[in-house]
Amino acid sequence: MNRFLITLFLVSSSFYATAQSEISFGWLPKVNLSKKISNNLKWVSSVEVREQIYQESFQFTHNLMDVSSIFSIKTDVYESFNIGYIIRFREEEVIHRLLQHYNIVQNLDNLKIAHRLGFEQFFQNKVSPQYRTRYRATFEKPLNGEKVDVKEWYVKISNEYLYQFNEKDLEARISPYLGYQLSKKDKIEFGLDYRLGGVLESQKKNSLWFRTTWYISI
Amino acid sequence: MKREYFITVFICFLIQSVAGQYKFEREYRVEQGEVPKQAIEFIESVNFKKKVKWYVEESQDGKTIEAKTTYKGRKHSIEFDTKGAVIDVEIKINFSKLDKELQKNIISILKDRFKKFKIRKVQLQYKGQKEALMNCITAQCSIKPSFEIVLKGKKETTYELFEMLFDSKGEKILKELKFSADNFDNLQF
Repeated sequence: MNRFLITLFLVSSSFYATAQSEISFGWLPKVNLSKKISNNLKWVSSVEVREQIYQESFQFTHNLMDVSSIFSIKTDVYESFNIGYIIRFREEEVIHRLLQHYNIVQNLDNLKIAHRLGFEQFFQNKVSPQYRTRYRATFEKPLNGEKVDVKEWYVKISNEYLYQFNEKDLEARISPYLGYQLSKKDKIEFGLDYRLGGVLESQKKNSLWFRTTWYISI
Repeated sequence: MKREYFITVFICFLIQSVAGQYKFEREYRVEQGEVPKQAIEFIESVNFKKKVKWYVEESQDGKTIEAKTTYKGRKHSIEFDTKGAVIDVEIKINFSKLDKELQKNIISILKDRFKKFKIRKVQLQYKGQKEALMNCITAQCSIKPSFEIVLKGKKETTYELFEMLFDSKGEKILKELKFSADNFDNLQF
């Protein structure tokens, strides 16, 4: 566990060390609702809002809202293909997004490793379509026992890379979380989501978000 | 007629009890101080080199205490009742390391039972007297093990997870439990 925290600290520090200029932070609350339709199909919907607390100066502003609707097709016990739609409301703008994500989870003795590879297309009035690919690796480890049971805590850390084809921009994200399994049907996670934009540029963009996500299955 | 009826009902009951059970399990870590003395003595007498982790496991079979460690490069799990009496010893092994004849028997049964399957985990399960179980860990083992196999198998259209217990020759299924994959929404969305 100590080794895990030290690695996390070093990785986070290296991001900060390379980062300069633009910094913002805020809160990203999200509710994720999933409903099993058949043995192989699930419908997942979520609402996420972005509340900005700091950008150049302290300010509390409602930044945007994402509403998603995704169909998750189970292709194996621990594999799924997700296709979906996200609508983003940002001030006067409305951005439509289509997504195709493939997930594989390796279930080891007391560690889960998840890989997500995705493609996304963005559509917006008076703006040409934008295309993005992303890969994320996530590690989840129970803090008690070999698997997460009800009323038990776990840690989760994810590292993601996103490449925007139009602007040729690479973004890296690192997110450590603390999760709690509330019941068989829901769990809650608290964590940080650090994003470093313009990785390939000299001018970097930093943002740090406090995340709270409530996963519910009905 | 009546006798045939009872035999049919009995056979149906047996099939149901072997094939229809759903695995329920909750397991959590405990400190050595919360473990019965008898169980600690058993573990201490083996003199494991690596750290031993203690767990309480609640399942359809009741509540038990488990000690887990790695010994001679293989994962060991020693199960005790709540008073500390040893119940069984399980040692993880690769399926390919089992005797060829045994592998053949198990595969043949699985092929009859599933359209497709993939073995994920195999454990040798030893049950017997305390001293005999101790020997299975440290010295020459005189107990013939059963084989606990976790697999994903397809009976109809989708893969499901199963825990199956085979006898020492791999010719008979002693137990079959179906269980669900953990929800992994938080690793996808």
